Amino acid sequence: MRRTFQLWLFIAVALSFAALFYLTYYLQTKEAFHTAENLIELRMEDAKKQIAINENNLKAVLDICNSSMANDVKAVAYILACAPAFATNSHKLEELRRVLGYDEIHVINKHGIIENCAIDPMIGNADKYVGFNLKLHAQSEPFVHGIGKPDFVLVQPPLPRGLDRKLFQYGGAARQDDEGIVQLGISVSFLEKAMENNSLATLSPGLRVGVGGEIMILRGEKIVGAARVDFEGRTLTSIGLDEKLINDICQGEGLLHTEIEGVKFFGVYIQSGDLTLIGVMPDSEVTRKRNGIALQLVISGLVLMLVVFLSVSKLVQTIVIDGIDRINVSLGRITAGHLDEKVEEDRSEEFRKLSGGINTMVDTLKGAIAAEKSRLNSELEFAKMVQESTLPQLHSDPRFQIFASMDTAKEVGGDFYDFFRIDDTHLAFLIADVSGKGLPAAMFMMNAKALLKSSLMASAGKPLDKVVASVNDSLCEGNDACMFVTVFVGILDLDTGNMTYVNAGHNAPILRRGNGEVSWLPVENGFVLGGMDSVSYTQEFISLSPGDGVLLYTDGVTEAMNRQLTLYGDDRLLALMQGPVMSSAPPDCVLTELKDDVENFVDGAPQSDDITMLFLHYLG
Amino acid sequence: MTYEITNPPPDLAVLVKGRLDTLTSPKLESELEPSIAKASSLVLDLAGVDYLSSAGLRLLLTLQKRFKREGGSFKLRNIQPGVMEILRMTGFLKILSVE
Repeated sequence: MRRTFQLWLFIAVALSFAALFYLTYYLQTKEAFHTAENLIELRMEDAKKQIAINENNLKAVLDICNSSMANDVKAVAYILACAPAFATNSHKLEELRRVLGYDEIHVINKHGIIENCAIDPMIGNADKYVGFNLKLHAQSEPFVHGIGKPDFVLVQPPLPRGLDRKLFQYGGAARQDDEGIVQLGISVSFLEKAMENNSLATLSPGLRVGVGGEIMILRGEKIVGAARVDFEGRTLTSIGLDEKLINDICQGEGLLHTEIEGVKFFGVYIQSGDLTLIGVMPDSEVTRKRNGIALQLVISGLVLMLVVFLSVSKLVQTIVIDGIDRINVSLGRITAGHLDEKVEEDRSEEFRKLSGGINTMVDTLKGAIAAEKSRLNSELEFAKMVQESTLPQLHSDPRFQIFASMDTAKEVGGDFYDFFRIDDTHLAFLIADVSGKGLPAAMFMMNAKALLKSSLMASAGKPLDKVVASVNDSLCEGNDACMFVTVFVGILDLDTGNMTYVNAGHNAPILRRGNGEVSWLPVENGFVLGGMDSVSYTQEFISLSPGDGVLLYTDGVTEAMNRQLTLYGDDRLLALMQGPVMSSAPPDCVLTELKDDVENFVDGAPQSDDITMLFLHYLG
Repeated sequence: MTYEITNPPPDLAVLVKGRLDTLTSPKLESELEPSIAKASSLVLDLAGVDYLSSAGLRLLLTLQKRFKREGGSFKLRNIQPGVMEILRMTGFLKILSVE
């Protein structure tokens, strides 16, 4: 029971711990990703602001440049109006260019053809430009539209030009001296620097999220800014994102789980103007705190679980199992037969009731056993009484002495003996052993004894074998239980010493002559009485002289058993009787000597059968 | 006491070993009853029986009477000397068939 309880307790505690752990783990995971999402979003907001600031800065620089160029080109138009020589004279124009510090000045007529120009010799040859038709080039064509519009001013954004694709900016204004346009051009490499300074790539260090996370800025599918410099210029496909996710990223906002170069990342993506921002953090970093908490939880949980398990186990052991064990010990003693054992387990109401119940039950059982015992005892007592009440008595007679003894076993056997005078000269004596034990045997014994006595008393003149046969037939009537009795019966003529006898299945008696000669009395072994009717018996004769004796006994003597399970046996009996002591022992000592010898032999082993013996001593 | 049915009914044969006393004889009788009920003859092999009490004698007597009443045959076989002495002394040899 303790084992089973501990097993279930362990399972219950372990399950609750597992459930608690799982719940905490789940919540912590959710919380970790939520926190990461917030952090990433915060960092993306910062990045967005930074991008906006960059853009504003660049715009301001460009605005300044543009407005300065617009003013300069209007000033050139004014100068041309005041001093028309500048329009036609290339040297003058070259001087003006140097003064103004521009790379190119073009004077364009009303047909959009360059009439005069000054070019920084470092860039090119002015002669090549003269005659160039603005209408023929996409870059210059917009200026043609200003021809004939006195207020026209146009400053183009810087555009890459030439083989080296350096940024170059053109501005133009309507000529005041004539219909046409005057153009200024300048290489804006300083703007390149400014634009570079303000490019998204320069945000790189500010794009970190946590330790291993970052924000990637995309234009289209191309990464234009990232904390990892090597990402710049690459596409999402090239860093390992799948197509569907890339589609989602380019079109809206949301959360993502993906692998970048073999590492698992969690991320958020949003759109900002024409840019897409992706903020990612490695899963391991997101869940680092959670893992720490989980580890602490596992350790503290295991300790807690152990404490709960041990204390509950101990508690139940103390409250329940010890009590049950104690009751079991008491029950074991009761089962072993100690009915006086009391169960005294009173640590709780339930145990008090259980103990009380068991005690009451044992008391009831004791009562029932006592009642049954007394019933049995009275039956046995009655049977014993029957057996013993019928022991014969005789007035002393100078012609013979007779001694008999019967030691009944604990359970009543069926031995009996009898002797009586049939008439003045005839003495009948017999010894018998009924099969079976207890009351039925006692009843059969009574019947047999009465039948034998009455038949023998009425036997005058009849042969003894016939008397015995008639007793047998009577005993067979209605003997369904197949009980039977072995009998040795003899009739001694007290005047002559002639003895007639019949043996019906009984042990052969021993004959002790007065001269010390001892031998088995020769017997014809007839069948037991009561076993089968119409059996015939044989009567035999022997002549006794004064001093001779006959010893009769039952198998309680020869089958007395010692602790080594050895039988006393016929041989030992004959040898004892033939021995120097018994062959001449006084008649009154024969039975006591024999009994002593049997008792010595069994040496305290319990007696299992009646021990009955009879010694007839003929005096003549 | 142990026993072994060496031949099934109707020609029942049983090998008995051990003591036939107050305790074992009724046991043998009741356990053999189903087989005996179907048997027209019975041979008890007493090769392993070294002791026979009056209860054992009673069992033999019961069986003898039963088979005699029903016209069957009941025989003993391989009787050991100790048991033979008891059967001789009690006159049972006069009424029992021995192989």
